Amino acid sequence: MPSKTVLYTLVGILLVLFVLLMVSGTILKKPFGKDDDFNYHVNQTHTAITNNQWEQAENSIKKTEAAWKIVRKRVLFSADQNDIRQIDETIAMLRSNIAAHERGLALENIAVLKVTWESIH
Amino acid sequence: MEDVLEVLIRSIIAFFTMFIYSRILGKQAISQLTFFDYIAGITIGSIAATLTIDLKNRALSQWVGLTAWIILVLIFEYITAKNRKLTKIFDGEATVVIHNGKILEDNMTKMRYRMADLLKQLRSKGIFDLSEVEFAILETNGQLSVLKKSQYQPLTPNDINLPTEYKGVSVELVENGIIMEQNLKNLGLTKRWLYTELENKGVKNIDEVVFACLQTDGTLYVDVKRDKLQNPVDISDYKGPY
Repeated sequence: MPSKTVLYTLVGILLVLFVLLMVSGTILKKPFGKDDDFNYHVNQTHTAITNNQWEQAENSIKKTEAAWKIVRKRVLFSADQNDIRQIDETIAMLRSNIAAHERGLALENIAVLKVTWESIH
Repeated sequence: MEDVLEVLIRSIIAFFTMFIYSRILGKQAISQLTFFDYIAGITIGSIAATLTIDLKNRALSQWVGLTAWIILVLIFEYITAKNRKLTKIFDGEATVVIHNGKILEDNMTKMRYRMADLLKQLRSKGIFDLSEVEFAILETNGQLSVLKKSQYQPLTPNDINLPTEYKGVSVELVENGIIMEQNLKNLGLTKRWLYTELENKGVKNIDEVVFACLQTDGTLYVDVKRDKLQNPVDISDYKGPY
């Protein structure tokens, strides 16, 4: 039988581990390389849309989507599912906005994307 | 597939959290729970279930909710254990419903306790005649405590000045072939003593023992795997197959 101290320490470690797992999104949403730098690619897309560089915007949104696919798996557990779905949908809408060269709607969706991204932790 | 994995991880967290918290909350038996404890228990269980399958909200917020409820219940338990006045406010008070054989209707109405409830609880205690009851008290957990009139109380050895011997608690020594070494040590006995006692009872192998305990009169009670019944009683009225 383990001693009381060992038992209490184990229980404490387990509870801390649970909390860390549940707040892991804050750390795991940060980029570990260039491919998963979601924030950077969103800003690149934003700049391209503002400057009416549609080809550049199309390229950037593809990179944003690729980065999101990587980060999505990492934050899936800790994040609110509504936020995850919101980002999925907003990226899809942005793709079509860029393809149709709809500057106003595209900028609106970029703003939504940025706000939702901030709420993920 | 992602959802399944998430539910699985959440289930593990909820399961072990509930396990740890229920151990922290203590050993209060279900029958001792007050109505508030009962409601709190249901709410805590409900939050744990939500933590497991409600993927729309963050696991952390639901886990914090669960922890907050446990802490509040713990604080309440601590207060009620320490402060008598607050205990009365939180848990309420026991109410006398039969006093010197008379039913107190006003008290029953206050507690919204019906005559049918009283009779049912008396019957469950083996009392079918109201005239046998001197006092009946409705406890805070909803149970009825009954004091029968002296002429209806069972005779005890004390009533006829009959001397009795001390009767303590028997101590478990073997379960499913495993010796409880700690219990043997506490009693100041050895394994050799146990083996000798078992041999005296015709048990050669410790693995044969399902249960053995030292009774308060110093004798060893042993139950072995093979019961060797001469005419076993079959209470089933159904052949099978299962």
